[in-house]
Amino acid sequence: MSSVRTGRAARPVPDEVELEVPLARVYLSPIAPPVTLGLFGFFASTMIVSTWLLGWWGTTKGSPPTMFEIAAMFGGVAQFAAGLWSFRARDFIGSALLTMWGTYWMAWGFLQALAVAKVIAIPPLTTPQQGFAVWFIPLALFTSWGAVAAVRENVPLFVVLATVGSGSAFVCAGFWMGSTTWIDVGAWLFVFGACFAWYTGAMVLLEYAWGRVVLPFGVVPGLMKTPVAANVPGARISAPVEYALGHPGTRRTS
Amino acid sequence: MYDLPSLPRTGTAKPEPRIMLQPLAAPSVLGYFALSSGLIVWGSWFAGGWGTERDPGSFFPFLILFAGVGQLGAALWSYRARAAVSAALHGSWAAFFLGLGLIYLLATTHTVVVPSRGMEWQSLGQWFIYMAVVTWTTAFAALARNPEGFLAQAVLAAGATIAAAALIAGSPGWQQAAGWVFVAAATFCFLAGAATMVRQAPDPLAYGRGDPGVKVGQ
Repeated sequence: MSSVRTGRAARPVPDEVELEVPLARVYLSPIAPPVTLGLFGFFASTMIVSTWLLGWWGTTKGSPPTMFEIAAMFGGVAQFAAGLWSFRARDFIGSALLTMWGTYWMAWGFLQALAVAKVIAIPPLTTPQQGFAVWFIPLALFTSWGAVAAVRENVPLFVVLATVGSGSAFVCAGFWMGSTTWIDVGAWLFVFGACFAWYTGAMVLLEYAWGRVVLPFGVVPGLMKTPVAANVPGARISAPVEYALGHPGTRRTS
Repeated sequence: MYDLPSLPRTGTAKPEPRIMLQPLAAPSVLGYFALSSGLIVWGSWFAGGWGTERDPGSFFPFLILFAGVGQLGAALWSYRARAAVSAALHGSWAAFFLGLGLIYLLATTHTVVVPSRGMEWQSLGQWFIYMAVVTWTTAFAALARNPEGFLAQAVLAAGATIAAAALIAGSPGWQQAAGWVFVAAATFCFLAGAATMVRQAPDPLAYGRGDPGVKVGQ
């Protein structure tokens, strides 16, 4: 037993045995995969803006004033919410990157809203916009680092993060210098990454809904922690704990 | 004051994990009702069934709050309900109606100009391309265990596909057709939500004399 300090508040010290840390009980709580909504929001918003940057539709006079609202909500609010739910899913990549890109789309929408309200003026793409270009420095850095982490997950997610991370670097350079060439290179990478974002979201959603692999996961044996069976359509790779007669939450629902 | 010895701050014994399943009311009831409400209000107007070009200034708050915020709430509760399709479907369409409501808000304040019905509207048409892709995907996923949900989502995806082509081409006839397909989708969404509501079986795990949450209902 430890010594007791002298003084008017002196009390006996409990035995060390009594202070032992009790055995913890860890509760694991299943939820639906948040990454699907997040990647769908990223896919749609990235596609619409990137294809506009590439001149596939619209005019080059400026960003269409009725384009940013849904991007701010779908790529922004919805993806941000999915990112926050990813903490509950223990998804360390989704919790960081979906949340980050959700904030980007909200901030971009805010910028566009200020422009249509004529509070600020957004110059044409040929004019250097260094204040906007710097947004893409942390986006490129953190997304590329997410790609490094995704090497342990699956190939489609790795491709999403690698292309979007490198695309962010090109877009950063393009806006910094006012170079539409570099912006176009970045936009092409964004289009490529957005298509893989749809694939990855659909891959996870369909496996969850059907209870078996529908779209192959692209697992490299020995490198990724997902079982190699995930490459085979029809294979079962998850065994959910369910109570078939219970309400939603105690079993998977649609 | 204790003169505490250096005690271990964390245990070394391996804790026992337990998987905790928490039942809750099906969020897709609210989700489908909110989606249906947005589709029937906007779809019937878009189809030319009623109103003038000024009417979005009256119904945009309803789009934002019920079809948008309400449906988004359902989408986020769907994660706890382990309902992946609901989370993706309602999250996507909630964001769409939030954005569309915001467009009409900005149009009402004369901040942006929105094309009249029947005219070309490139950006909204582009949005419908991706809404169609997402909704066809969720419809295929719903086919696994929810035929009513599949039907509602397939009709909705068809409406989005037609709307995309009609808005990009500026075709009044196809825009009307898309609007009525949205109204049909609203009907199927209502039926999907209503079926889920009445299909709630008694939960054998519920303790009937407990507080709400322990028992089922109020």
